[in-house]
Amino acid sequence: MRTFTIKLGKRKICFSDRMIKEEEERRWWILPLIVLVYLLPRFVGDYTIYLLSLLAVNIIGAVSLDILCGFCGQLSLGHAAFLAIGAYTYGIFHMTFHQGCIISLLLAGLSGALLSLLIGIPSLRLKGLYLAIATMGFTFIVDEAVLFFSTWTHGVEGFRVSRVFDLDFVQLKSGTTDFYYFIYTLVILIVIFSRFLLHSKLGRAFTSIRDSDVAAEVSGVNLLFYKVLAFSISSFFASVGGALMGVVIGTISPEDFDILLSINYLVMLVIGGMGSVYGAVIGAIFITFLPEWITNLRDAFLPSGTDVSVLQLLIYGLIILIFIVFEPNGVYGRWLVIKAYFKKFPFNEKKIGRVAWILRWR
Amino acid sequence: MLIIDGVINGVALGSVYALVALGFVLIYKATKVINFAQGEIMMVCCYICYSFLVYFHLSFIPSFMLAIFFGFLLGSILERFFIRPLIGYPILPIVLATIGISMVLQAVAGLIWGFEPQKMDPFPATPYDLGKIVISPVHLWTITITVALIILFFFFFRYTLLGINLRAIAEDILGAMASGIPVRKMFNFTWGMASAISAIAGVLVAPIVFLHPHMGAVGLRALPAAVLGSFGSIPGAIVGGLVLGLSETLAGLYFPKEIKDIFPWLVLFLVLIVKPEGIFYRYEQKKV
Amino acid sequence: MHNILDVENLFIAFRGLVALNGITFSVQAGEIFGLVGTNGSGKSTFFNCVNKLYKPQKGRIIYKEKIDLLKLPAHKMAELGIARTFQNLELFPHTKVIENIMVGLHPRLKIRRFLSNLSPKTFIRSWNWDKDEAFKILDFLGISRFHARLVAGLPYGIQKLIELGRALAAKPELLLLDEPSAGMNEQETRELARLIKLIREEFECTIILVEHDMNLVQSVCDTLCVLDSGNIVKIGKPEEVTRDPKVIKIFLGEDEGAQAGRG
Repeated sequence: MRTFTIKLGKRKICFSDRMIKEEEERRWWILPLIVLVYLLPRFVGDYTIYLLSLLAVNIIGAVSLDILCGFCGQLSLGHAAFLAIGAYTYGIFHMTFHQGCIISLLLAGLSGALLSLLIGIPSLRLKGLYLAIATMGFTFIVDEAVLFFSTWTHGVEGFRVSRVFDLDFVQLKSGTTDFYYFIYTLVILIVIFSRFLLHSKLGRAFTSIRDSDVAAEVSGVNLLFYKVLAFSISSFFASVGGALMGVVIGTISPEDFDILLSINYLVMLVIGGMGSVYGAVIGAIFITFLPEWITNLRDAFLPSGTDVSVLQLLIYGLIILIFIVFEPNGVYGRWLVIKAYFKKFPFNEKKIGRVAWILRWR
Repeated sequence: MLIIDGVINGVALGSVYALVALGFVLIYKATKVINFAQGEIMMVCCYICYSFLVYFHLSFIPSFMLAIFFGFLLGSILERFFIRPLIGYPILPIVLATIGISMVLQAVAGLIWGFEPQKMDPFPATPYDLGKIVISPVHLWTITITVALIILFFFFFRYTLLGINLRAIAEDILGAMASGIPVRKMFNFTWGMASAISAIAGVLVAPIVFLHPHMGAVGLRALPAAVLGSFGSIPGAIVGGLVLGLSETLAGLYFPKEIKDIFPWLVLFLVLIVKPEGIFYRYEQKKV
Repeated sequence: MHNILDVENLFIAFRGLVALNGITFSVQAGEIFGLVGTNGSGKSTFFNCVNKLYKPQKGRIIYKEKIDLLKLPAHKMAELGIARTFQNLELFPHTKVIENIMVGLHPRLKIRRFLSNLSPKTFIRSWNWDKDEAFKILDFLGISRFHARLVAGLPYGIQKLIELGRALAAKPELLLLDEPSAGMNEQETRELARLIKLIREEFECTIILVEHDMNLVQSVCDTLCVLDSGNIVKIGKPEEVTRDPKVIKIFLGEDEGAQAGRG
């Protein structure tokens, strides 16, 4: 028990850390945040709305990866492959076969979930590093497959996808405020679903697989079923995200879905913090706006001939290294530490060097 | 004859894969890390060799030696500053850290040397005619150097104190520490050595793929070779590399181009589904 | 139903090293059964066979006189009511204590309850049936004051209780305890003995205990089984077994065994 005494004249008042109550967490900030999201478009210009739509796609991608990596601990470098599968499925069904938008979107998600079985089932035997390499190979294979089937996918020239999302009663053109409302409704639903998932029986099964699959199995968790389920749910949302990416940008080509995209989403999780859906959102915001900031930096400080993409690559790599070495729990992890600090103040214990850094890394 | 050409090409390619896989395996055995930047280290050292050749007008052998030395230095520095702080972390941050290093190296190479592919072919162009077989000097030298290195490493790991120390660390770190082996210096040395090997592999492969900052991707294609060889053994890496190189070249003769491009990854998938432990697997059971 | 577990001719070897050499015994429902032996005699291996973490080459394990456990996959054990603790605790170090316990609830959760959890109240206050059940276990073990702490910072004795809590959360009919008194002193061991008997009453389950501490085993067990190098040396009531000369020889060595036998 630690105590803290203050003197008032002759009297001493003593506080102890036993008096700090463990409160129930009240999430009062949810409703105001949702209102803010819906109000935002009135205050920003068209280009920002476009960026925000891109952000929405990235949030979906990051949150879906969080379900796989953060909840279930399965390190996957194959996320770009599922985005590609979703984007091209949507493109083929909507543009080539002229199916409705919602149907195509659903089919995109389902095809991603189905193809995820290709890595979901072997994932039972593949641990950690091997899974990373296998999923990396999966990304390369899918990229090549897109080229192989160029008659359907239009290969390198790019596949033009309609930027109008057509619900029968209203047309939503990407870049407009209506589309923004639509896509952010989806995002909010997915985020809420993921948080529910985290605290449900499924979520606990996932986290127990992440932390100790022996203990999970002994407690009755069917490893194969839940790993495959994690891959399927994650890939479903990733493919939906990929399809929406096609709608937002307008053209898709294999270079958009290379291994760098998978790494992109992993970096979002590292920066934001894994395992809590909020970290994925924070990381997505950071990474989506990073190219803008880099371009602004470049315009301000360097001769205008400097190639932006090189600069982006350099800064990107440096950010990854800095965050991993100094802040492996991400922004959200740091926020949790700060919150805990203030709750216990002034009874905080001094943490020893790096031991404190690893809070939820498993 | 097409097949013989294919075989020779395959063995040469396989030798390059074997060398890069060797680098992967060495680092993995000692430090339990997969160094995704191996290809980029290869690329940077190749550029260094190129710089000495073109800007300093040195002849090939000194440039080559300098590049190898630089590789060793680069590996040591990377280990000391970026991997050492991460000891004990789980795989995800370490994998991402090496990916981060690879990005920074690519960007730095692009800034210094530009993104135009360069030609670096120090070998004579006319093929040697050995009667029935015609073999180009690049391939001959690649195979010769690889064989020489394999023999060198065999003696190194078996008979030198340094080699035995490294094997001890790969087996059991705590035991090695208890025996007085300076583990951290050994880690550093392993990274240096693996990078030096990559430098050699880079110079050998540059004539074929041309020198440019994204050349490191070739290094990544050697990963399936390391997986095939179970990641734990050096002969495994060599065998894996040769198998991969041969099968890829021969597949290129019969299958369409797209299949050949991703052939290493298809092999990887096959291996991981059928026998993820690789060929040289040692039986281990986790005690609970 | 008299026997909750029937082991028949269980044989498992690891590449030539025989761990269990065709052992046969039965455990009665409701009793506390002790499995003792020197290191390497096959005690933990037996548990791992029951849990299907190892695959025995020969033999059968019959549960409740009708289910052959070796034909089922590992995760089915919890559904059947078999729970287990580990000698080297398999806890989730960077998660809250209560969430560790809630993992054990897994087999008891069904879809209906999941759907009933999808109310806004649950989302905003994150309180639900799972937490209630987990708190009941924590109260029973006396460690509810740690419910929101991360496991990593807690003392070893408390961690052992958490591991026990996770096993109990599944409301098991058969509880396998793997060296529960490892790392405990005399007083803690006495507490443990009391706790084990209390668990047997409250949860109405059978307990199989793998142990080193002979005092604990004698005070708590109804039946005792001594293993040596994969074979059963003696099985019976604790008082008889501990007086058997062969058993004494195993635990105390040849000369002293002879002396103790004479003395």
